[in-house]
Amino acid sequence: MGEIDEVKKELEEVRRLKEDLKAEIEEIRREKLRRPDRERRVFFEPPKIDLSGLTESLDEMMENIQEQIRVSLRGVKDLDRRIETRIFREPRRKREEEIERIPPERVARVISPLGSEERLKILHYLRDGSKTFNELEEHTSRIGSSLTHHLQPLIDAGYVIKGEARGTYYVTVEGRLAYRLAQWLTSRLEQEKPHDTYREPDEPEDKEDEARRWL
Amino acid sequence: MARLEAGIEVKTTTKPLELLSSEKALVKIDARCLWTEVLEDQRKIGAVIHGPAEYIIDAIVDTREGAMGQSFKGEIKGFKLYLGGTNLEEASAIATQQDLQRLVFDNREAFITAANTALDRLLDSCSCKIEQTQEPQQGILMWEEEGRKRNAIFANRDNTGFIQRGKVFLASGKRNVYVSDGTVILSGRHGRELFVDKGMIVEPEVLRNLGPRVSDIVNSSLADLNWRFRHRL
Repeated sequence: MGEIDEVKKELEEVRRLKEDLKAEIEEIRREKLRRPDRERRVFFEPPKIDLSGLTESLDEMMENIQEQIRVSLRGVKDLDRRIETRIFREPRRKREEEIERIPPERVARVISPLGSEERLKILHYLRDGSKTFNELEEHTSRIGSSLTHHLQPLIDAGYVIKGEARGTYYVTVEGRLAYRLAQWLTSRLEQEKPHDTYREPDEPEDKEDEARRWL
Repeated sequence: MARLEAGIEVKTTTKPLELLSSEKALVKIDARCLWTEVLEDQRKIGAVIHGPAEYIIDAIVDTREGAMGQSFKGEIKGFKLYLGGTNLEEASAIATQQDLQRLVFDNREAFITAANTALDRLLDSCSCKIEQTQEPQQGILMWEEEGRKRNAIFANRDNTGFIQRGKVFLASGKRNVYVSDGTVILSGRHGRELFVDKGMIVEPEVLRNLGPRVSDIVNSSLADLNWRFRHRL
């Protein structure tokens, strides 16, 4: 597995994500325009999504990746220039078409292994370096098959790799990327949510609000 | 350097044994393997072993961007040469005629002759010199596979190495080398990392220098093992 292929994949994923979000935003806007004024007034004001901020973040992320490649290859003649040429100048239209063709089941294959707090905790913990099964058991407070139940989907998805000699677990390049993008997505969506509607799942409901509802 | 030669006594393992062991490598030999000592100037420095063995190498490099590589598993059949520290003696008994015949040797002499032939073949164009006695489970294992002589696994406290047809892996502290199936990963002490994958580097100078660079790193690690291993990769 080569870093350059991974970076290519990484960039594709980022671009896909960007295009998906852009398409969704456009759809929301179109929906809003289609609705009669009266109907619109009935609903809450949809949250405003600042697309320019989103674009800047993604561009910044891509620039960072590009810089990382340059640093890795610094001193290797003019290889960095060649890599840049090869990776960053794909036809935009082609990329967009590819992204639009991604079916839900393919998205699910990538996203569903991340769909559990325990698995995200494992990925987060492995970012510090490889860990043994025992260390993972201690960290997650899950033992034996209960931990395996969460580890296996991550291994199947290629996000975690197991060293067979000592039963050591490592987070792969894909795993790091998936976790980083999940964090980024969380951050962006939380920012876009109106503050008065967002509440931590375990946060107790305000007693006054509860009482008002009962009345 | 004095010629290495097989001993005169043949022993058989009475239980499975971990011949080589490090953080990233494990080599186990089965019970009922036949072996004889390897002597250099009458000094015991290893063993020629015949019988089933298996290895697992965690050829995984943990880079800043995530782990790359894979575990390699395999069987080592036939004769293999082990040079280094070992607990073989404690897990073995003198081989009986039955033990010898089980692995198709008519008698003790036939095994010693075959062991010496294997030793010569494996050490052809390669010289090894032991500077000091190794700890148990730390040393180098060499074997032939499909006519290729230069298959080797070496391990000590700080280094693990694996050289097999088309594959090279070395973990030596923060220095790592991984070469397999068109992928090359080099990482250095100061966090420098280089990744080369199929068709992605077209710079001939880089490719020309890769072999010597890999070779240098592997050889310097073998020097840490207190071995002199004059081999071209």
